[in-house]
Amino acid sequence: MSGPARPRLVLLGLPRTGKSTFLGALWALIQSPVETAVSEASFGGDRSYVQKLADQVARGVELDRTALDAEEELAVAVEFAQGGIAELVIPDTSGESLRVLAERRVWYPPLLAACKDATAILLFVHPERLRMPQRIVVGAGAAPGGEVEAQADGVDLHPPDGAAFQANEHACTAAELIDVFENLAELWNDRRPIRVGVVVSAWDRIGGDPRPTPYQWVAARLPAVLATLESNRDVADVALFGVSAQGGALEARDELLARGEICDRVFAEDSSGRRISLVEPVRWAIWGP
Amino acid sequence: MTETEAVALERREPADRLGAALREVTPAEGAQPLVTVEDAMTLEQARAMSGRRGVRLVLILGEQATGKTALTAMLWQQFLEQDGLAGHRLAGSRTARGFERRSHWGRQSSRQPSAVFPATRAEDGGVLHLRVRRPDGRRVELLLADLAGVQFERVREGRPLRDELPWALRADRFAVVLDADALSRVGESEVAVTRTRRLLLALAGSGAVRDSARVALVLTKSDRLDGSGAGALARHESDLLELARRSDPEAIWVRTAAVALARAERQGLGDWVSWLCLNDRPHAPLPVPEVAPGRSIAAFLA
Repeated sequence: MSGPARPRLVLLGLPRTGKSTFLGALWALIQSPVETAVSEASFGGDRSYVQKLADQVARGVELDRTALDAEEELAVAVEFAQGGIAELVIPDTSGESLRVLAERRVWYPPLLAACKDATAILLFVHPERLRMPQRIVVGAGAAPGGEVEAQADGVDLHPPDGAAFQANEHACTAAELIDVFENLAELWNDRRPIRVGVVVSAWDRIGGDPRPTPYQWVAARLPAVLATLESNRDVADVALFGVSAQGGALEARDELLARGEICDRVFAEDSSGRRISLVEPVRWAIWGP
Repeated sequence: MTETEAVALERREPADRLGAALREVTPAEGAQPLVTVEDAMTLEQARAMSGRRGVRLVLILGEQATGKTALTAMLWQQFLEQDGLAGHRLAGSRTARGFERRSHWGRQSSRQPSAVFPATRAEDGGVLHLRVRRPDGRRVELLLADLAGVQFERVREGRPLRDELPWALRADRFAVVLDADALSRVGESEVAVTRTRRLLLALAGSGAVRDSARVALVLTKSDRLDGSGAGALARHESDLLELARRSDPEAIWVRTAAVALARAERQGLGDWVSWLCLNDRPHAPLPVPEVAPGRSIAAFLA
């Protein structure tokens, strides 16, 4: 009989894309008797860090940003209702360490170590923290004064600022993520394909009638990233998720907390928009579809 | 750090302070190198890739301000805005930063009367990498040379292509540009045609185009073509194509308007990427040597 799976899952994303919030909510669900998709398989070990994250999610407060040199992780044996037991390790990687890769163009050693050992990656994007490329058009039909195109949901459309190119100011999110993917693919050269889940966080903020599915949203907002992932199936098995690890906006905290405990508030959707447990991206990362 | 600098740093927002700290991070000795590059690949880096399967080294020949950089940058921009271009999908890039840098002023000047793509200086020239998945599922690695127009001015004036750009001998695709905007300007039209013709002649005389390589004539800024420009094009397009076919009997014209009017579609980028990703030209069948009657199969069997 084979032993438990020993997945090493890396939550990857630029700063403030919801990685720690997800980790805190995940830990809360693992402990919750209401959540049937997952449970803690053995009690023990130092859980102080993830417990602090879970407490902050429970209180509906904004989480501290993970320090660049943080070495915290969630290391826990969990049992999934669909799958089995896994000795799961998820380091809480700092978004800043990905910025070091994307902007300073060096691997920050802890991030490199985490990604080298990773059995799967969950790549986080926040819908309100994307830099999208301004469409390049000329002449007739231009808005007066060169105004940028209106954008319904507040996405930064890379408005002209007249300044010379600075990667940290002007490179669009898709370009940064494609650059990161190229370097990850190189790391995994000898053990492809790796599972890569794209997690759109703050999914409760996505509007529209009808509301797009996570797949439709990524296809519309990050088509180049989606195409790159789907065109490299030999490098990465891909799945898309929308997750709301707080369950709503922190600006409406009272309303949010009135909806109950974390397990009552949080939700997730698979690529087709079907409601799934918040732990499903982790289950998929371990065992696949 | 001086005291003044320290105070200034302290007054910044935490994120700014973190940003300042990030700038201090330097690569550790023996660290894992990145496979992506800061801007464009050097020719040496491109050469390291060019022997691989599915790689196409693309040389875009044209003088200054003929739209070479826009042609390259807008292909990237199109993939960022919309998935799929004539059935081709983006599959990655090792020079995403270089594309972003080249798209920057185009974005900054968007909705102005004309898009700005600053001239490529000789010292800024390099190779941009784009991995594209064709409709048949095969991936193609495009290495698009983005070079200063002045280099082609020298070629047009008589410097042999293989002296000016020795690595052109390794190119798999040669795109010779004709600027439709210049074609439509009185006094410039003939100059534009002559320059393109000279580049085609230089290419044909260089011996750089291998049997498997392809050549295309690319009409850039075709949306700027007015009546007189269209007349000039009609007059010269067959002649120019004939010249291109001295290097590649399958040479074609590709018309592009990479930067479109607002609310209009860009034109020709699908044809452009399709041509770039085409298979190599099949080698011409080797002539069958004549066999002396005494050594023929028939004679042997008998």
